[in-house]
Amino acid sequence: MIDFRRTVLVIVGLIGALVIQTTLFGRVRVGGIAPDVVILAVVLFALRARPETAMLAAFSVGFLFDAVASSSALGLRAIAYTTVAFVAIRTRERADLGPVAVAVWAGLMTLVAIGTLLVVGTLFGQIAMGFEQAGRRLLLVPLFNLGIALLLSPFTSRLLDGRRGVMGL
Amino acid sequence: MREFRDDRSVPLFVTLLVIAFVIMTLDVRASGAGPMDTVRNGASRMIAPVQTIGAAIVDPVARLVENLSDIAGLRNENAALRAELAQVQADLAAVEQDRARLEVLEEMLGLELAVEELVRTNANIIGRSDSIDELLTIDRGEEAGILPGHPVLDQNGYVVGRILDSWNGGAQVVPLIRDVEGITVTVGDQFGSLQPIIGSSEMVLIVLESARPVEEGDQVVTSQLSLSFPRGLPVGEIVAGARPQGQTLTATVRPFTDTNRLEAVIVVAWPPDPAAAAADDTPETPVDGATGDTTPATREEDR
Repeated sequence: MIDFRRTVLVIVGLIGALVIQTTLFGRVRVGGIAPDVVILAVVLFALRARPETAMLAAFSVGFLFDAVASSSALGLRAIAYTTVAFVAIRTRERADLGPVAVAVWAGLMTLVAIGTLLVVGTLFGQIAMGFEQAGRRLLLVPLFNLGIALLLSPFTSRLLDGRRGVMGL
Repeated sequence: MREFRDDRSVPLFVTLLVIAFVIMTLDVRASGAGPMDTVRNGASRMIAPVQTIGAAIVDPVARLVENLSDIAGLRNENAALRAELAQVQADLAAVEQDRARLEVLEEMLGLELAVEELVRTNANIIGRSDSIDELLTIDRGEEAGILPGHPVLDQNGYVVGRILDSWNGGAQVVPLIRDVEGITVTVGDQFGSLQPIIGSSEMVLIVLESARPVEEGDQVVTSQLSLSFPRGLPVGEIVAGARPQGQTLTATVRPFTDTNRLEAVIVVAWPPDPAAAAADDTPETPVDGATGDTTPATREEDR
């Protein structure tokens, strides 16, 4: 059975990440580029959640992001986030070494998400970006997310611990 | 790590991807209209209140971060403004310098020399030597009729020195305070020789056969006995009164001109007759018109 309270927590967490991304990081940028905390939330959620839940949540939040805060076609971020959730649940055991490993892993997952976003978006004519701009995003966004994941290491430690995790869905 | 069922995750992943691609394709084909637009609008309306609340919550944080980044930006801006200010000050200094030069040139144009018929050439000082010889380099030379030995005056008509060398496009001026040739001058009705003092900005006046003392502030002017300078040009003033010792009077003279402050000079074509100057260059004449003064006896002969 799915724990209702935990489900609400996860939904609140993902939507909270979406809100933070579209408000706080809509204004606070470094060199015109902001971290992507929605991707980070999806990745960290995938660290503990069941695969189906993680992918459904990633798809939903991606779809919601496209609907409320994106000018690109609906489904673009749904594809990217679902893909990264899938890759994350396939590789999450490699991150089970500690908070630093989780941070590096989260950075790599962000790279996968941004890469997917750029490739699919370009193929569908939704993203028109030069190599330099794309390269900066492929480099900086994962680095920013890695940094945030390090800052969140107490939280990720609890995720790794698994005993008091809030995402045992 | 909790176990997961790969057999269900992969089909789910593929299914979700297919759904997402279908939605995306429909949205792209609909070009922002149709059912996908309705979905988009509905989701936006649903999330808008949350976004509003979220914005209200994160706004102070965003403002704090923006302010922090502004501080860094302000520092950079401050540094840039300081650099700009320094540049403007440098430009202003250059303008002031040009204005001072202009004033000097205007004074030169309005200067009435004792001998008006002399040809005068204004020239800018474009270079200075080191503190050893303190030569000045001016921007006009032979092409302007400036020749070695020509007297050099400042904008007030005070004697600066003489031309040491000239070429097409420039000349060198040796200031009086460094000119070992000295200059024949008059103090009152006494003739004397003014010589530089090594390492000093003042000069020494030696009057042979002196009959009267000199007083502080007495003006020293070029003598009518001088071949190198027109008569009556102000040179300097007596620093301290002095009395003759025997028949010789020695006094310190402070030149009127400060060569360190000069921006431009006037070169006077003297002597006015080049033939006379050429005659002065003959070996029989102790000095030529270009380099120095003669003794009183010789000068009398020259005259």
